Amino acid sequence: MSQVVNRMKKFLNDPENVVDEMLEGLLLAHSDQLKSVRSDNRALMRADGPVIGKVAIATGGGSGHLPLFLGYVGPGMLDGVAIGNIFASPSARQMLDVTRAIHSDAGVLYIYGNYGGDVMNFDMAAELAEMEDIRVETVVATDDVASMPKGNEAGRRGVAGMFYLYKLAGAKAEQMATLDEVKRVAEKANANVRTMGVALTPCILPAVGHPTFTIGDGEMEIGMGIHGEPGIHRGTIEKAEEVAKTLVSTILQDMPIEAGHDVSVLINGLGATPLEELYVVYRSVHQLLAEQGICIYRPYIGEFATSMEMAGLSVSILKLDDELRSLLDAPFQTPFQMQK
Amino acid sequence: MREALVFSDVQAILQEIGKIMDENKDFLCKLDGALGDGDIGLTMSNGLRAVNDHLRASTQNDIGKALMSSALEMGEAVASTMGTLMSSALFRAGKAIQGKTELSSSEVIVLFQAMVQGLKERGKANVGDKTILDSLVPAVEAMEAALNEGKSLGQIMLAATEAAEKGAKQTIEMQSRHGRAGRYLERSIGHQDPGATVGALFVKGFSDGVTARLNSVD
Repeated sequence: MSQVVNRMKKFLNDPENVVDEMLEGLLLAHSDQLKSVRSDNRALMRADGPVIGKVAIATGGGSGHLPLFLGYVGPGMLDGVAIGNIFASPSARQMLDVTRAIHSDAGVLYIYGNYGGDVMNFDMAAELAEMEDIRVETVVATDDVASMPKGNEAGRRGVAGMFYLYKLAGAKAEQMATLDEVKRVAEKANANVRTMGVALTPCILPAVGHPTFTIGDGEMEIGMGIHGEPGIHRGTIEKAEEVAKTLVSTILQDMPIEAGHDVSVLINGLGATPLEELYVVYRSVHQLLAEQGICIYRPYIGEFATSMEMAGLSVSILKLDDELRSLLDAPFQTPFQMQK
Repeated sequence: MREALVFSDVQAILQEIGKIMDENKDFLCKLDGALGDGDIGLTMSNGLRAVNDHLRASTQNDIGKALMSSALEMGEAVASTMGTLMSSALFRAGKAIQGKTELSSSEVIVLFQAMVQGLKERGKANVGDKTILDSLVPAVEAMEAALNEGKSLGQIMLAATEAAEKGAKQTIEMQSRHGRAGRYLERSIGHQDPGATVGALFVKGFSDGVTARLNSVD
């Protein structure tokens, strides 16, 4: 029997232009919320920015993960973003252009996801910005439990849990806190959030045209990264409640949470998993945490960090204290989401 | 024979480096195909082209500033890991000699030392990890020794070229510990590292450029 190759079935013009055409469409749709800082649209900022006196927060990364990264630019969240090609880092120049555009006089915080190219380019951009007397600090998100064993937390990837870093640091910056304070909150959020993901199908890079790896029929892969990085276990697909149990127990082993503690939970769809299934999984996550005496405060369910048409989901758990809870409550508005 | 490089020399030297990268494009891609995604030759060829296009149009005499701005052009043109690392290295080189309109032998060494330091910091690798550092670090050591022996800039660069080539060859026996190639573990042994090869070609191109320029002008 010949092997079936999944051919690309996407709404595209020239696959090489997907990012540019996406950005043009996005700016046409949301010109009241976003503006471009470069003629090629590869760096965007809040339409009402820079906000004088406020710490500016920038992020960036490859395309192919909407609403990550550019979908978090807006009041209560981030000030600017550098946009790379599909799964590729933006350049240091793009990051510098964003930095120059969003900074007022309170400094700039970079928050992004601990991928090699992004780290090098943001480090270089920070060096360039400092030469122009713009103070820059950096917090790298490392929430993906599956990407490195305990003890190697600093080497972990940043995935959907990055939402909480953006949200909490964004809320702190909105209160006109200092750069050191905003950085402290981002670090605290990062220290208290863990994510575990599971994938059912691969994704297709438009310029490649077919899946770059396969997951067999009836199989799932626990811990797969948002670019298809290998996970920690591949096996037969299980019921939603079993999957939820695996994800939650792995997180709790990595970050123990005492009974009586509050958490926020984020259930993230990877692109091709319907909301229905996310709520089925949320139900189990809620039950599992309740059994341990852990209360969920402000759950978020939807798409936060995707991998194009990858089917799968991730669960992120954020341990809350009074400070994080009140920052979580603060409003935000982006082209993709709003919280009053 | 002159002993200091002026801006037009640096322009010519980078042209020579670009030429050598073009000539070795397929060779580099082949090396990279064994350990990475096979595009390092394109990265270097396109990256140096961006640098040279920028330098050719540059009107300033400050060698450091020109290198810094051309490094950014390179980073923009080739955003892959190697592109970003080389862009970083060139940027640091430029920063280290900012304000100079002429480079003495010892300042050329400062330029290479800054490149190495930039690569170490940005790439978080060390000698022995089977990276570009395994050709550039021995090259810098050879340059320092040759300078101490009172050699001319041309001789210093010849010593560097020899050391860099030897260093690149020695990566064949090493195991990759870094980046994408690090995933190949012991399977990486037996392959010459494409990054170290880029380093050796860079030094060779620099040396050829120095020799051609300093010999041609009295």
